[in-house]
Amino acid sequence: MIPVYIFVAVLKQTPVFDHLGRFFEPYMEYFGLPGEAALAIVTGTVVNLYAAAAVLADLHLDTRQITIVALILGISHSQIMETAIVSKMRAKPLYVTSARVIFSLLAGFVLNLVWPS
Amino acid sequence: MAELNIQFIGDTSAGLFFLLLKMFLIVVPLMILLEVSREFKVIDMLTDLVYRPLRYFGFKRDSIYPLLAGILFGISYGGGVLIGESSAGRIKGNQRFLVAVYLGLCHAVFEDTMIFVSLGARGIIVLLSRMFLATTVVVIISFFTKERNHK
Repeated sequence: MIPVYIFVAVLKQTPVFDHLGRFFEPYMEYFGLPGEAALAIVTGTVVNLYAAAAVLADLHLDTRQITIVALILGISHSQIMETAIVSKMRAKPLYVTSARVIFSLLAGFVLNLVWPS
Repeated sequence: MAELNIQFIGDTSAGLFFLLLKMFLIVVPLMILLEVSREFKVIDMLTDLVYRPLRYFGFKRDSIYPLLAGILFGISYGGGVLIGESSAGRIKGNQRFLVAVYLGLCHAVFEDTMIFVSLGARGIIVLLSRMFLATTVVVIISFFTKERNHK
């Protein structure tokens, strides 16, 4: 969590941060989120929620946006570790993991539609 | 430039400190509470209560313990219980998949929710949407795998 926070703080000082934000903007629009939120979603999906929280902390999102990110990440996070756990359960990890990713995006999309901004 | 650097380091450390403090104050009491409820075997008490509604969603009684363990304490704990129960032969393939799907979509509900509540999210929306989604998906899967189960 601490290294991620410092990394993002340094990244923000460089133009790379804005470029990343602009790159993801058209995709994040579907969820009513700014482009930078993609960094938090990717971090949370690959690493874990505490790392994602470190990214989110300084993005200045409003309650509605944070909740949408929270729903997406709540459903699909720490995929590397948790897919390993599901495959230990011998319970079709491919299905479980793809269901999580698909439903997380779907849930974020729907929440953005139904929650008036 | 040097002034800018000092200000940057100051701002970053302060921001980091308050983020960690906020998370610590919210997540640590929760962890203690969960640890205590694990000691007092809260799951055993809840099993009967939740089995009544959950059987309509396709869960068998033996699946309730790993399911509750995962929902409350996290997928690694629930998964561990599930592996133990299924190697003891109490949980069969279809049930194992149902539990894994439910836990995949919805686990460690208090910890995950509180992390985001500490950042300003509406916890109740996240919590209820996750449970509703996981329940719906499990009902659909159990509907389609039921036939195979009966053979």
